[in-house]
Amino acid sequence: MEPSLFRYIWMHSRRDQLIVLAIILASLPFYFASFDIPKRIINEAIQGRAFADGQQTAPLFAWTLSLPGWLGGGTLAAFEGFEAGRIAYLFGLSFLFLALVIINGAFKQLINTQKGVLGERMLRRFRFDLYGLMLRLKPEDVRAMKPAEAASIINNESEPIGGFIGDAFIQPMFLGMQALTALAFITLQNMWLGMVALAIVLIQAFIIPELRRELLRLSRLRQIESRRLSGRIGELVEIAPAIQNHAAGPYTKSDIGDRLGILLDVRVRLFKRKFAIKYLNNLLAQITPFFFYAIGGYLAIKGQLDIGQLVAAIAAYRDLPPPIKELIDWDQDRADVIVKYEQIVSQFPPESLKPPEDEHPTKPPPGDAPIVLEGVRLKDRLGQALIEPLSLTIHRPAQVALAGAGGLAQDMLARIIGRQITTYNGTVRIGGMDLASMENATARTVISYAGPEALLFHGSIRDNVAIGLVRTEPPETPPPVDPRERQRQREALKSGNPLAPYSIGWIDAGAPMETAAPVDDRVMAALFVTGMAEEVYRMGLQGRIDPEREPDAADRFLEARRRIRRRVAELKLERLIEPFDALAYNSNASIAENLLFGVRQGPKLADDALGSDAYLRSILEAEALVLPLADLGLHTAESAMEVFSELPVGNPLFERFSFVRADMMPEIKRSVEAVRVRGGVAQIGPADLSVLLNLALGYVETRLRLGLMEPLLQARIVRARNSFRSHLPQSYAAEVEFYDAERYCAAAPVVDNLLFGRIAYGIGTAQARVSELIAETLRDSGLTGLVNRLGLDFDVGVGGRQLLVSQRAAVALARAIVLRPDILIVDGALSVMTPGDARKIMQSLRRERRGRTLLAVMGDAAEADGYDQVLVFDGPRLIENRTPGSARGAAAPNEEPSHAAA
Amino acid sequence: MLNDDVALLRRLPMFGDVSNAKLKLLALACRRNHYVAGDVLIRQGADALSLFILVSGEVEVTRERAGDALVLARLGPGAIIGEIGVVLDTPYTSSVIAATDLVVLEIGKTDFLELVKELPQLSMGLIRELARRVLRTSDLYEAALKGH
Repeated sequence: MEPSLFRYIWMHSRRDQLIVLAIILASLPFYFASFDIPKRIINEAIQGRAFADGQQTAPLFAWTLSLPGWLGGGTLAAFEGFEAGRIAYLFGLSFLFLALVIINGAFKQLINTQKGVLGERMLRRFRFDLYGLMLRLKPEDVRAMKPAEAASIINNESEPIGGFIGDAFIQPMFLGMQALTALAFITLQNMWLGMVALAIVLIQAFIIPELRRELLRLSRLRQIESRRLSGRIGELVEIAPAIQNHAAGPYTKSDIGDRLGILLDVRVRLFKRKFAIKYLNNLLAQITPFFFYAIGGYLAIKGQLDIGQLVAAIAAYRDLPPPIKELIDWDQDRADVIVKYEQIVSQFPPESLKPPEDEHPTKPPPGDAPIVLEGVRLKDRLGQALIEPLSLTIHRPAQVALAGAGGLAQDMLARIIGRQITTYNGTVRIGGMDLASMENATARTVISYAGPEALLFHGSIRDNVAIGLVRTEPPETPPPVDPRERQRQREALKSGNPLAPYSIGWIDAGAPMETAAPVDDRVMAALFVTGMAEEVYRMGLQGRIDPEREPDAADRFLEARRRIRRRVAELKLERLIEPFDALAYNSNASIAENLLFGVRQGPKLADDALGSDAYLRSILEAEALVLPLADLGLHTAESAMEVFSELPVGNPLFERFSFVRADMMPEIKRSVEAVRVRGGVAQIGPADLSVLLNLALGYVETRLRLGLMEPLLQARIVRARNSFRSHLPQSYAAEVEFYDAERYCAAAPVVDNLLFGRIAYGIGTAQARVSELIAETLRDSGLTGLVNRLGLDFDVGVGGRQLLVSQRAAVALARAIVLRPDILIVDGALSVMTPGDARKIMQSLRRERRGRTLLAVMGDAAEADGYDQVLVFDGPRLIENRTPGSARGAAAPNEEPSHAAA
Repeated sequence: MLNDDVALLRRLPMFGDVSNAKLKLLALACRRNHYVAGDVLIRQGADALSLFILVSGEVEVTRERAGDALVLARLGPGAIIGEIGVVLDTPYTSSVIAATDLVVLEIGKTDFLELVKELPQLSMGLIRELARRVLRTSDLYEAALKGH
C-alpha cells in the first residue's frame, strides 16, 4: 500500500482531480464579477455616476475593469455595452448580479458533486484495496487479527479518509482560489483594506494550525482507543455464552466501563480544545469588519475610497472568512486523516504481506514431484523449538502419517506444508518451487489444508463447498446490454474494482479437470467422501421448491407422490404413513397445522402472531376452543418450565430439544404466573392468553406426549378447520396454503409433498421403511439430484451455526477436497467427529486419495497402518521416518527414506 | 405418555440419580416405538445409531459367527440395548430381534451423547452402569474359572 495518502490519491484520481480543477478555474471570472457588479450598482446606477453631466442614457454591460490608483488608476474596456436609461440600467445590472449568483451557485454545486462522487469512488477503491491487503496477509498474521478490528478498519476507519479524498486537492484549490479572488478584489479597491484582510488571514493560517496540534494527538488517541474497544466488544460477544454461564457479566462490564471512561476522557479533552480553537477563529473573523468600518470609513470620509468600493470590499470580505476557515478545517482534516491513513496502513506492514498475485500464475509442479524439506526449523515466540532442524523427502503420490503424542511438531509441519505457516527457517520445495512463496493461484491445485477450524461463511452448503472451485481470474463476461449493468461496470472500473459481477460465472465446474461436471455433482461427490451427503439429502427433503419457477419439478414430485401411494398400497404399508386427511386429525402435525389444514406462509399467521391474530381468534371463539387451547398451552408451558428452566441460556440442549425458544421463556413464566395469581386461564389478560395459545397451537402430541389431545378435542379442531377455511377473508388468501391431494404445496417441505402426510409415530420400523421407499421412488423418478440440490441450498447461518459442529467440519473438509488437489493435508479436521465417524471418513478420504497424496496428522503412530510413509515425532524431534521398505523402529532424524513410497 | 416414560426411566439403576426434570428431557429426546415379533431392532455390524430401552416385551440378542446365529441372551423390560456401540462409536456387535411384540424408548446416538455431555448426572449413571457390567462379567469369568 502506498505509504503517502496524497500520493495514493493522486495516483488513482489524477484525471478527475484535474477535470474539477479546470471547472474551478472556469468559475473564477464569474466569481470575481459577482464582487464587481454590486459596486457598479451602487456607484453607477444608484448614485448615478454613469449618468454624470445630465446624460439620459449610459452604456449598460460595458465591461470595464477599474484599476486602483496605485496601479495607475486607468480602466480597461472589454465591451461597449447597450445604451440604457437609469432605471433600465439599474435593473440590467441587478439581473446580471442575479444571473451571476445563479451561475456561481451552479458552479459550486457542480464542483461539490464532482468532489463528492470522486471521494466516494476513492473510498470504494480504498476499502477494496484494504480488503485485498487483508487477503495478502500471511495466514499466521490473518489469524492474529481480530475480526471486529479488521471490520472496523475496512468499514469505519476508512470512512473519514474517503470523505477527505474528494477534498484532498480540490478543496484547497477551490477555497484558495476563492479566497485569493476575494483578497485580490479587496486589494484592488484599496490596498490598505487588502493588507488588513491579508494580515488577519495570515494570523489565522499560522496560529490556528499550531493550536490544533494537540487536537490531532487526541484524535489519534481516540481512534486507537475506539479500535481497542471494538476489538474487545467483538471478543466478548464471541464468548458471551461463557460469560453468561459464569455470571461474569459485571466483571466484563467493568472492563468495558473502564474503556468507555478512557474514551470519554479523550473525547472531552478533544472537545474542549476544539471549541477553544473555534472561539479564537470566530474572534479573528469578527474583528476584521472593525478595521473595515474604521479604516474604510475614514478613507471614504477623506474621499480616498468611494462608497461603492467600501460596500463591495465589505461584501467581498464577507466571502473571505468562510473559505479561509474551511481551508484551516481542511488542513486539520488533512493532518487528521494522514494520521488515520498511516495507522491503517501500519496494520499491513510489508513484512506481513505476501507478494501480490501474478496475473498469469506459474505452472504447478508435476503431480509426482517430491516434497523436499531442507533444514526446516520453527520456534515459538519464547524461542522454544517447535520443530528441530528437519530435512527429509516425501515422495509422491503417497499417504503419509504425521504422528506424535506430545509436542506440536507434527501439527506445525502439517501447517508448514499446508502453507498456514509461512515464516520459518529452511526451505520446503515441491518440484523445485519454494512452497512459502508459491502463489495462491498455483498452490490451490497443488495443496489443500483442512485444519481443526471449520471456517464457514453465511450462505448455502453449496456456496461453502464450491468456493473451492472458484476461478482465480475473473470469469469472462459478455459486454453488458443492460444500461444499469453498463453503469455498474463503469463505476467498478473507475474504482479499480472487478468488472465481473459477483453473481455469475465464478464457479469453474471444470477446474482443474479436463471435462466440466455439474457443480452440484462435484460438491455432492466431495460431501459423500466427508460423510455429509446423506444429511444433505435429508435437508433436501425438508427443502421447498417454488412451483411458479419450477413447474416441471412440482409435477414430477406430484407424480412421485402417486408412485409412493401405489407402492404403499402394494406393500400394505398404509399404517406407516398418517396422511393429510381433510376429515381427520393428524397426530404428527401441530394443532395449528390441523386447524388450518395447510401451511402458514404469511406474517399474520407467523409463530409469534398466531395466538393474537384477530381472524384465527374469532374462529377459536366461535368454536369455543379458546379456553381448552389456553389450558393445553398452560400444561405445555409448565412442562417447558420444568424441563428447561434448569438449563442455562445458550445450552445446546435447549436448542436441540426445546419446543419453545429460549427468548420466550420469560414471557412463558409470566403467563403461567398470571394464571396462578388470577385463578385460571379464563381470567388472564390478552397478552398472556396469546402466549398460551401460541404454545398450544404449536403442540404436536406425538412429539411431546403429554396426553393432552383427547379425541373430542381433536374432533372439535377438525370441525374448526372447516370454519377457518370457509370464512377465510380475502386479505388472508396469501397467508396460508391449504393441503390438496392433487396439488403441490409450495409452502410445505418436499417430504410432506411426497407422502402427503407424515411418517406414523410409534412404529419402530416406519422411519427406515418409509425413508427407503422415498429414496427408491426419487431414484426411479430421477429426482434424487433435485432433492440434493435443495439440500445444498440449505443456509448454514452465520459462521455455519445452523449446522451441527460435526456437519460444519464435514462441509469444510469437502471444500478442501472438491478441487481434487495433488496434496491434501488433514490436520485435526476430524477432531470434532465421534471416533467412529472420524475413522469412516478417514477411510473414505484414503480411498478418494488413491493416486494422489494425503498427509494426515494423528496422535498415535499405531493408527498409521497402511500408510506409505510414517513420520513419528517426539516433541520437536523426528524420531522415526518409516516407509514400507525401511526397518520398523527408530530412525535418525533427517534421514532419507530408503526408497520412494508408492 | 411422557410421564409413564419418565416413571420407567426412574426405575432403571442407570438413571437413579438423575433429577425428574432431566429425566423428562431424556424422555423427550426418545421416541416411543412399537415393534412386532420378528422385527429387527439392531443388525450386527450396522452403525450404532440408536440406543434402546425396553419398556415392555422381550428381545433376543444373537451373534452370528461363521454363519451360525448364537443366542446370547433374552432380555425383558428395563433392558438397555445398544449402548456399547453408541458409546464406543463402533458398529453393533450383536443383532437384537423382537421376540414378542414390544415397546421401546429409542434415542439417537447424537442426541444421547449430547445429553451425556451436558448432564453430569446422566454420564455418572452411564459410568455406573458400565462398571456394573464389567463387575458382572468379571464375576462370571471368575465363576467359570472355578468351574474348571
